[in-house]
Amino acid sequence: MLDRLPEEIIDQVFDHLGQQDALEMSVVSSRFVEPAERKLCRSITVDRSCGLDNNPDGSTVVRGLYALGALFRRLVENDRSAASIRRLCFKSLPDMPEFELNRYLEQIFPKLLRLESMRWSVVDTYLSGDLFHLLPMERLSTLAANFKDFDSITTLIPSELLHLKELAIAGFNNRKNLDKINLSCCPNIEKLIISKNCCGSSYCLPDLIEIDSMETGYLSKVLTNVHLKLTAMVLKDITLTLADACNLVSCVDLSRLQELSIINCNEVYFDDHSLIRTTPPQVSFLDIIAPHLHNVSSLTIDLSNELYYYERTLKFISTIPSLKSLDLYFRFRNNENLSYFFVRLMDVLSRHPLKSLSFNFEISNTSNKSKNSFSVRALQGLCNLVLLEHLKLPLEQHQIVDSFSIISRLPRLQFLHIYMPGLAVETPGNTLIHQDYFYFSCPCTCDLKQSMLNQATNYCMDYKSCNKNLHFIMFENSNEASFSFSCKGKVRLLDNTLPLNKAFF
Amino acid sequence: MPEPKVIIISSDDEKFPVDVKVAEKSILMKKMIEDLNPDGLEEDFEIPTPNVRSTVLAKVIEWCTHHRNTVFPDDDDEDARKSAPVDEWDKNFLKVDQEMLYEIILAANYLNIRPLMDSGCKIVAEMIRGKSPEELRRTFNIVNDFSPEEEAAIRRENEWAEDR
Repeated sequence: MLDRLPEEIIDQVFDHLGQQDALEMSVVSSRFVEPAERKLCRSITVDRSCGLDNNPDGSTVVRGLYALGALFRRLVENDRSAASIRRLCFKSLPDMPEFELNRYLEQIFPKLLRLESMRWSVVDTYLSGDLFHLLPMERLSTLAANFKDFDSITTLIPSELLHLKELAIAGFNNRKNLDKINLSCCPNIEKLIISKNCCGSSYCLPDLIEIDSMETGYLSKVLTNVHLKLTAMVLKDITLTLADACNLVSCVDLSRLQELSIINCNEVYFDDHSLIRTTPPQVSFLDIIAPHLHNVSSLTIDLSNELYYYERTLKFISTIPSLKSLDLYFRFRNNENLSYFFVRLMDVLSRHPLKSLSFNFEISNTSNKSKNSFSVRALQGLCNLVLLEHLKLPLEQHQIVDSFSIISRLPRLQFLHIYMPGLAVETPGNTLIHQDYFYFSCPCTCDLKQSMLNQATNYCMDYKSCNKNLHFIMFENSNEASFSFSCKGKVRLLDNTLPLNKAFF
Repeated sequence: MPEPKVIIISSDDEKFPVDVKVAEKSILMKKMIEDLNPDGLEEDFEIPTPNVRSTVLAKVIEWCTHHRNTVFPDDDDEDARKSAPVDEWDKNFLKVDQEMLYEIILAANYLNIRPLMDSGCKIVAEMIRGKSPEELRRTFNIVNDFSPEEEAAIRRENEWAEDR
């Protein structure tokens, strides 16, 4: 009976199948061989680190080296399989030698005739321009890649791509290379991501790479003679100036923008010739774009400047109409009075119906880097954010107890993410020894990781007892070691680190 | 004057008078109504559905009537459509024998009723989930037309998708 349904309907049923089920169906009868293969090939994700049940978008996941080799061989041999690929996403690669990988891709890329979405977010192997140009591009609606050898590319987008909706370019290395991206060829893009350095699949991580504050005018380079109607924009690892802001306002219809992320960017207040650098200029980048942003609901701001002056950021947040999601990152000077700043920040935040708030900071030029000197009382204003579901906070161990009173007053809070630099084991002041060394259990040191875990578990119980609605609690320390707990009902440790981000909602 | 109705006629000539709003759940019928009555319906309007049996059509109309005011996610938003779980009411509504289920899916496809089509396909996918090939053949009454060698060859072709 099922086998008598027309092919197009079988395809639609198979669309809802998981990877293993599609495989089983392929051997049930000859009728299902092709539909099952079409389903498996439609969307493929290569991700070495993907968790077993962690595949929300229904794409076929290739994890291991053997499977990747088998996939490549199949695509080289069989044009039909290659032509059924619509979405191809490379997140992290198994250890395939780069020359072998490139040899396969050289043969496969020209055959991907129906490719609509191409994502290359691998951070250790980049996509070379030569390979990229082998892709048939007419149908592309999403193009996101970390590029290498950008210097050898002449034009990134050689022909008009009218279907292109999302464009993410990472790794362009220097400003000159932005000339090679001709945005007038893709007039219909809605989401634009420009990142000087390469980045992974989530753009949210602040990168450690320093920005050269002398090189300016990135945006002005990429936005020339275009008029874009963007709904989302990410700017990462670049400098921003007043001229850039004016350019942005004239080339992009900002009133449609719903998501704006400025990550690891540096605003240049002074040009080379100004000698006195103590007072910030009258107008800043954010002041110019603020009046045009009517529909932004999700905002990420990690925009520093050489004066460590954040009044403009506060003002900016208070002028945007109603934010649902906000991600803030500040870089402070050593001796700043943080408590005072935080009280004012909380006041600004309370004007927004925030559902998600992530907030973190670092203090530059400190010898004693894990001391954040602010009183948790300064964060008391968080209690006014009654709609909050997701919260990320930086806290020291000794501040945890004080934070209970805040957490207990957030009725809708489900996800709590504590960034705790102090959760790391105190190491002797010897930077030659890697922190990981202290995590190994050995007879002379007790199992320190275990004791960290016990501590985190205790905190987790405490949080749960003051707020019954919490579903997930995650502790993260400065070495990116993290513990996540599920506490729907009973508190238990989760094996895989949950992607505690907006995608969760 | 009572509002004019849309009269849907099944393959076995049974007539089902329904409100315009109900009929418009089917994009095909909606287009027909709009294109052939540019000034709105002034009198009853007949739409023949020559490949839908009356029992199936009755079920489809029952679905459209229940969902007359439901707002469904956008057709273009494929991810949202795919990830949405099947509505509880739909689940019960589609608790029918396989033959009927397929006929409803076919009718929904022909009449272009996207959300009903999706629910139907998800229910079938649910029946496939977690079964071995032998169980699948039994569930769906399918004859195995492979020799063991052929089956092994297919497995080999798709081994890249085997999870290990």
